Amino acid sequence: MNITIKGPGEIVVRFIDQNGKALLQETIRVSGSGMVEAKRDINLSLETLSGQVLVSPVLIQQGEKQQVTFDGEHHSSFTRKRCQEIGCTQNITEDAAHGHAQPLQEGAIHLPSAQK
Amino acid sequence: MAQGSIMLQVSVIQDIAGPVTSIPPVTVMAFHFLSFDKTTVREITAEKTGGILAGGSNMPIGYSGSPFAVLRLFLRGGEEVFFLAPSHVSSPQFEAGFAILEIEELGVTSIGSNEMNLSRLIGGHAYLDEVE
Repeated sequence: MNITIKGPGEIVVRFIDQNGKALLQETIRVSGSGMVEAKRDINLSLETLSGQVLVSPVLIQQGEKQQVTFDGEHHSSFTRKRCQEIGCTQNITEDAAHGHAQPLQEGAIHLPSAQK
Repeated sequence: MAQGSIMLQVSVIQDIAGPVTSIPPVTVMAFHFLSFDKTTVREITAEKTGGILAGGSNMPIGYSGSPFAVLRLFLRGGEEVFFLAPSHVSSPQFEAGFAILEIEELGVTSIGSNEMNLSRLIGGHAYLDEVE
């Protein structure tokens, strides 16, 4: 899937499994003029010891002047479709489509708070 | 019309709750339309903090110290020139219509059943000057 961002600012995307658990989070910051754009390609699955886990992207945050699309579609309609594909419940799907997902559990590596 | 000084800057903070057995690579691009006037690349750089932790040995896996960054300019007629980071010396002038800053950092798949955690920040920027 590709994430396309038009305009400067910061977006936060969480990638949730069918149970709504966030496994991956990406914060993408773009700086420049109002004409700057950015693109990020990412797979919608993660490998664990139990096998492949399918995930859906959830746009948690975006800058006021930013436009964000997933694979060229409005992010919320893409998220709704992807959540249905991977077997999320209706509640999880609707929450995700509205930009809500549980925070990521704290991992073993901690970046300096200034970077977060 | 020439746009003067232009900044292209992008960063990605990638966190995985883990443990997982595969870490996806990072490829992120920032781009900007130019005016086919005379463009000079003044600076291009990239940096990284954080990384990958493998559970089996608790040893950090660090290959390259910095991500790979390249700026590409697309010239009249479709020709392309590229500039590698780090560079802090002005390039020759080019009549360019489009600039792409691309930053890449590796992904890994564990050998055996080692589980991994991840938290890393990858970013870079390019400064360009476009004059008539």
